[in-house]
Amino acid sequence: MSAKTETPQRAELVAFGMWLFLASEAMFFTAFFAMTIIMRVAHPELLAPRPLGLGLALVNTAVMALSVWTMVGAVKKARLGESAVAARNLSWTAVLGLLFLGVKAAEYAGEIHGGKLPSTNLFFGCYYTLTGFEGLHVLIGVGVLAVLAWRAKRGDFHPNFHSPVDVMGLYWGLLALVWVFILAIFYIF
Amino acid sequence: MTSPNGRGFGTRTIPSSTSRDKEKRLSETTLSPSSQGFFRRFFWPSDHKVVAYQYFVTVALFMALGGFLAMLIRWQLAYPGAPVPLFGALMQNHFFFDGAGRISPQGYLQLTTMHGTIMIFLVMIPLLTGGFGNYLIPLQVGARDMAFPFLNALAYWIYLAGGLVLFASFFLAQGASEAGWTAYAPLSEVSTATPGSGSGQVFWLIGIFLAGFSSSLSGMNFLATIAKMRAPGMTWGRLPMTTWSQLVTAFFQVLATPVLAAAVSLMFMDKVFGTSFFLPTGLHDSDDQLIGGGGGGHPLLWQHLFWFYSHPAVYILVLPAMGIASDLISTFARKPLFGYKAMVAAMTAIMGLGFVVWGHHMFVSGMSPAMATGFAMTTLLIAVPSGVKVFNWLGTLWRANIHLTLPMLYALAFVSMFIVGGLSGIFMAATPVDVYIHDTYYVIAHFHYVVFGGSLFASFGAIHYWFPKMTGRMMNNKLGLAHWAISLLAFNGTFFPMHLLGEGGEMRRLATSTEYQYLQPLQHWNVFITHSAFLLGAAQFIFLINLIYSLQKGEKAPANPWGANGLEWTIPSPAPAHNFEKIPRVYRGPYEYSGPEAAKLGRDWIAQDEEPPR
Repeated sequence: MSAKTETPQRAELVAFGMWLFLASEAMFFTAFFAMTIIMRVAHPELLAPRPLGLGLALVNTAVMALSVWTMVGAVKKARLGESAVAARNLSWTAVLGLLFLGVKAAEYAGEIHGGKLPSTNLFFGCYYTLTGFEGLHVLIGVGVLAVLAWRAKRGDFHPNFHSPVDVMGLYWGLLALVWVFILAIFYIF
Repeated sequence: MTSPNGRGFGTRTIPSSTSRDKEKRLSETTLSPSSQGFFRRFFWPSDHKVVAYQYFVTVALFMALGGFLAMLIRWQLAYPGAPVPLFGALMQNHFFFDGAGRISPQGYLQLTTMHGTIMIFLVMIPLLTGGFGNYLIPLQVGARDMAFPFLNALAYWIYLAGGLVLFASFFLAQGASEAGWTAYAPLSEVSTATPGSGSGQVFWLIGIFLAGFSSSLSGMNFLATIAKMRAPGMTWGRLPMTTWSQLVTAFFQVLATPVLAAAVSLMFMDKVFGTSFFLPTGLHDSDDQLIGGGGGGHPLLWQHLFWFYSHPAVYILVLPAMGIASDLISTFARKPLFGYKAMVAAMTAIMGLGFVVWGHHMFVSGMSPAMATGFAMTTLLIAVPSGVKVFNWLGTLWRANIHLTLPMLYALAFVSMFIVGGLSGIFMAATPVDVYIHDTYYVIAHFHYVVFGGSLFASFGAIHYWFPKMTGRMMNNKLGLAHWAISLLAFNGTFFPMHLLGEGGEMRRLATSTEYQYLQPLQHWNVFITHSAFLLGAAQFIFLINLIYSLQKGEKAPANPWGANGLEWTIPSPAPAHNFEKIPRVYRGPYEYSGPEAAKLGRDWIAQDEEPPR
């Protein structure tokens, strides 16, 4: 198909742009985490007994870890020019992203069923806001992954053009990182 | 190649070397097809200059709207309760007017809220960054376009969407937001607190989120372009000050704006999903109904999050103007900019300190005096780099060959007005003084001196300076002079007396000051201010006429009408698509006026890409 190529400098520029975007995303999520920390300090009574079950969160942690693994595979294979393998990896990452959202939805359903809504108290306000924005980012990521998988299948990526997959890998890494913080601040500590 | 302006640049060849080839390829990568359809060219442009024009036109429309709101505010303040001529009759019972064509109390709050919101988020920030940043950065660094042209076009449309959402809120049954441009909780939070805190406030939040997201995306683009797309030889020390200021500003856009996005998202959650991040426990409305589900939130947290962005935002509003003024002053002083490195250091210091001063907006919020002292100290420290900049401008002017062209007059107006606004800022940085003048017209005077007297005058200077490059025509000098003189005079007539009102204790956002006996003796100042403001508003029509006239009939502009050194002046006017036929090779800084190299060529300027004369 299209034999689009890019210079190493252009690839570096695209990655630089993505790092800037991640920096701004980090500031965005940091504000929510700051809100959560203030909530925890001001209202320790909301944390005892522990309001959330750990089970589904651990499942999602495994799903997220697996999706990072397939994403890293996609980046590697795209760089080597093994476009078909990269396409498979990207598709798996998208499927795992959807699975992550599904598990999250099941968790939400259980909580809503148990009468725990965003308006219940500040803890659940923070919880729904942070996981909601994380979920929104995963959803957008799944959409982009689907497009990238289609392009990889078409054979777009080769050793001289793979920056879209590279920066998708960076973005997906941020989502995994945010999830680790969510796991720590809402479920474990 | 001979120069298009016929001033004889002489033959220039671009020697090649390996390290330069690497940079060269990078600058050339974004070259896109030169023939594009109408849709591609105007709706999804890949040319940074067209994106800049989109911002300019949109900003002009929003500025007219914001200015119109200001005029209504001034009418009410001078003649409280009197029916508004013409508009009051036309829009009876609509928007801000009651059945008699007077401004209603809620209408007045909508006016002040939306005037501030529009002028900051939809006018000044997009004008300085989206407009001038987009137009000038690639031209000044010697690139053919922004690093990410697609993202650039996207950022404009997101900005426009945000603007339209804010505009649409005027047409809601309950009207636009009334909680002030700072949207303090709980007034903004409680939907029943005032009509504007209903759907109007939700629209406000969505609009601000979109405008902020757009600004963030632009900042990333600017940073990537300046960091990675500079032409060969364009070292950090050779960047024009306008581009340096855009770089520093972009850090704010990338790192501070997301915090605003988070803050408005939290408020959105509060209003739509019933959370209570900014609502305290036990808040009751006038019908004694409990407000805000679980409660337990912190109204002050909104102020912290809001000002964590919005204080840096005021530097987004002024830093690009400082950069523009530096370019203009050096060019028309025909002298190198005094203290180039000190200028860069000062801007960087302003950026660093700008992140740790937000608490000075909250001295009366009941914060710990120890915290207030810390914020007061960092705020006072900002006066040092600001002072460095002012003295460097004066140093540039000292014993210079000053040319009082229109752009120079505007730049000098910027410096003078910035000094007034900067000095009143020092008063407010001192906590005990601020406790007295907080939320009075003294504050209004201060930030209008910086943003209008400072940034907007610098922007007018920039428009007169780069208009030839944008359109290929010069702006009319007589009309420009009239606009400059009347604007400067009327501006000071409008905003200087506000210092006096503030010291007299007149509160901002107060619709009818005559209801307070102690303010009645000051009312004549309000009438004077309103007359000055009407003159100031009318003077802008001179500028509009000048723009339209000069576009049609202006004198044809040569490539380099001002004898300036920057790369943008080495290409024809108007600047062609893709800017540079050949990526330039830069040999020197942008301010080497009246130097020995230029003297060898028999003139007082030497373009940044001219080979060193033998």
